[in-house]
Amino acid sequence: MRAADVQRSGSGELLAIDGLSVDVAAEGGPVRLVNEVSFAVGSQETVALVGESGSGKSVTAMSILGLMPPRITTTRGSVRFDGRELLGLRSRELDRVRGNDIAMIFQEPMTSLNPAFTIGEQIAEQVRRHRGLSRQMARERAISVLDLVGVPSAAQRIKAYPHEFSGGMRQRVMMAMALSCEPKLLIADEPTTALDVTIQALVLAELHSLQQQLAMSVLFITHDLGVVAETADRVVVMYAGQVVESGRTADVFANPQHPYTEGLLQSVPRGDTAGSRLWSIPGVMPTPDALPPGCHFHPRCAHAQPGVCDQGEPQLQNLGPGRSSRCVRHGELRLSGIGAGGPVESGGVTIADGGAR
Amino acid sequence: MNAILTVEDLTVRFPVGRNVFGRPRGMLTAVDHVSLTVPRHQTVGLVGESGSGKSTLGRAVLRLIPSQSGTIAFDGSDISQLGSRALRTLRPRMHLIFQDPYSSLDPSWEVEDLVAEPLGTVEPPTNRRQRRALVIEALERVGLSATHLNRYASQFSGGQRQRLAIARALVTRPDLIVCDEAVSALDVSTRSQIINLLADLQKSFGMTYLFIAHDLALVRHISDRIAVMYLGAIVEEGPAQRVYEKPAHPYTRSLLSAIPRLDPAARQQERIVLSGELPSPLALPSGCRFRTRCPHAMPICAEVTPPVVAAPGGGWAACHLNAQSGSIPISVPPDTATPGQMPAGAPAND
Repeated sequence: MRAADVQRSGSGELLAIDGLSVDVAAEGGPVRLVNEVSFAVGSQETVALVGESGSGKSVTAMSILGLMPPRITTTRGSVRFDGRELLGLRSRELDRVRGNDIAMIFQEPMTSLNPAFTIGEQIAEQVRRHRGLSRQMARERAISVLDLVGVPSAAQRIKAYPHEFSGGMRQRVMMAMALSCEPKLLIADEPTTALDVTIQALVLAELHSLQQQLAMSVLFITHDLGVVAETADRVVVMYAGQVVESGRTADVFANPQHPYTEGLLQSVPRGDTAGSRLWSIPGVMPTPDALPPGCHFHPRCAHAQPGVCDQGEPQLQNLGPGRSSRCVRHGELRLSGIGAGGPVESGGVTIADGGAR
Repeated sequence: MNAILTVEDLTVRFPVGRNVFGRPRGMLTAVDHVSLTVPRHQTVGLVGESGSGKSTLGRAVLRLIPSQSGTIAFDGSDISQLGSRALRTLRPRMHLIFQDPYSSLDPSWEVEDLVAEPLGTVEPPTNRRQRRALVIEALERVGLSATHLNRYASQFSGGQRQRLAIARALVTRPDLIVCDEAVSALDVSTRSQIINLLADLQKSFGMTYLFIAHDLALVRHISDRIAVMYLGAIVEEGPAQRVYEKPAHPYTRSLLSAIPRLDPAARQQERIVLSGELPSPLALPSGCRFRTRCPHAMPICAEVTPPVVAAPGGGWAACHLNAQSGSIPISVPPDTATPGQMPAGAPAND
């Protein structure tokens, strides 16, 4: 474990992931899906884990809870929650943490709600199991958490089945279920991706106010940089199984220190990109069994230098408290960010023409 | 005729629920007296929440689903009543690209056959060698090559599959392509590649796009004009910049304010939060269909269907607020020279 990899958030760390690696069995030998990932989530903090499909962000999140995809051969490193090591815990011990101290919500609520039981029964079962409440108290608890997440007339709605709810309401029901045991950490994996923007705005606002009320930490897994800008205190950017950049959201967006982050930020269509060519990162994310040598991003990078970027794997460099980049050229590059702090007007458009395929 | 597509008063209804005798319990009006003009060589963006009817409208104008009333003028002639044989000769001139490149391409077909399939309806018929040449040209246009001819769709990534879908649409050189959430399922970096590709192809071939998406910022980027749909009706239409920067309908304003801003510094800004969700299209609200969620709803909104009012800067919106604030309600577009300013027939309840 390298000290430089560990992101200190300042305040007390609730979750500290250190040097986490996850290997999966494949025909040609084990393949590394997550490679030496380290970051921390402070108490009451919101951290966003950002990346495209194949970046390893979801595998990272799942391994916190010991929810592993099949054929995982080894998991190395450390996942400490509230001072306690979670990696290597037996499933019975993990069960006490899951749903109780750490809860998780997913993109598609129907995968985590049982269609055969009313939502009242499902929430009540959860609190009865984790909190040992009586049947009556569990029912009251179910009503109060549904109230909390903004499900109207909760006392009647607990008798409804999941299919009787709309997409946005199901997402709230899942949030109610996740929050019923007042977890210290909520892991939210693309919770609003399947929703309309109007409903997404409501769910995000609800999530924010619940976080304040319950003094909860949130680990947000998303590919949507707009959602990151709206919600996260800090952001961790992943590419091809590695952390490539991290820092405070405002810093990272205004002054990205890794070309991949720059590319992600500039690829998003905005009001002022109309009529011009959109910045695009050429090519596709490499598969974990065929990573390019050197910096894994260099074949797609607008700033790659032959002889430098294709030689030797770059290390994550510490750029100050909670700020890091895995680009060897970060010091000499002036990358384009978003908003007032970044040189978006000057650099963004011109480099976009050169960088785009 | 400057418009490739002119839709007037189009209504699409679906039967819903069936009783024991197989008779429908009710009719759902997915598209309600919609009028829309799509100027040639341009891109018209169609936005709205899920359930707004935008995909149904996109399929109806291609005659992929039947409409109950209204006309669809394609390149100057009404195609809404054409029989299947006449439609077949028209098919090569219009195409649909779907959201999901995983389910829209048959995984058991080789690329050559997938891309060549639309050529089957082209007159005069093409022989095998001509077809192969056209397929290779289309593949090269979308950034693929002849080396991909004998692969299967399942061997491609999401972005490459969407390129295949575009090549398939391109091979007959259509006049109109309806893109239904064509880039929504793609990752950020792949998405911008495909958006640029669509723009390049439009420049080279002068195709017209009807671009259906829920992402208003994306639609603003790619479109010349934007139409906003709510519960089966278009509530606002106009030049993309005007609609995006000076929305004239409260629904458009709330859609815009719901988009997460990319700038963390802009986080504190006021947000117009819509109460509740889309009402059931089986029980449309009286008067203005948006009034049940509208922050500005007034008594008149429940009683009178809002008039179509010209918006400063081009286009129009159907809202009582604008009618009251002194703007002129229009029944005839004030500037008929500008294509695409056809007002939607004020959605009459029937």
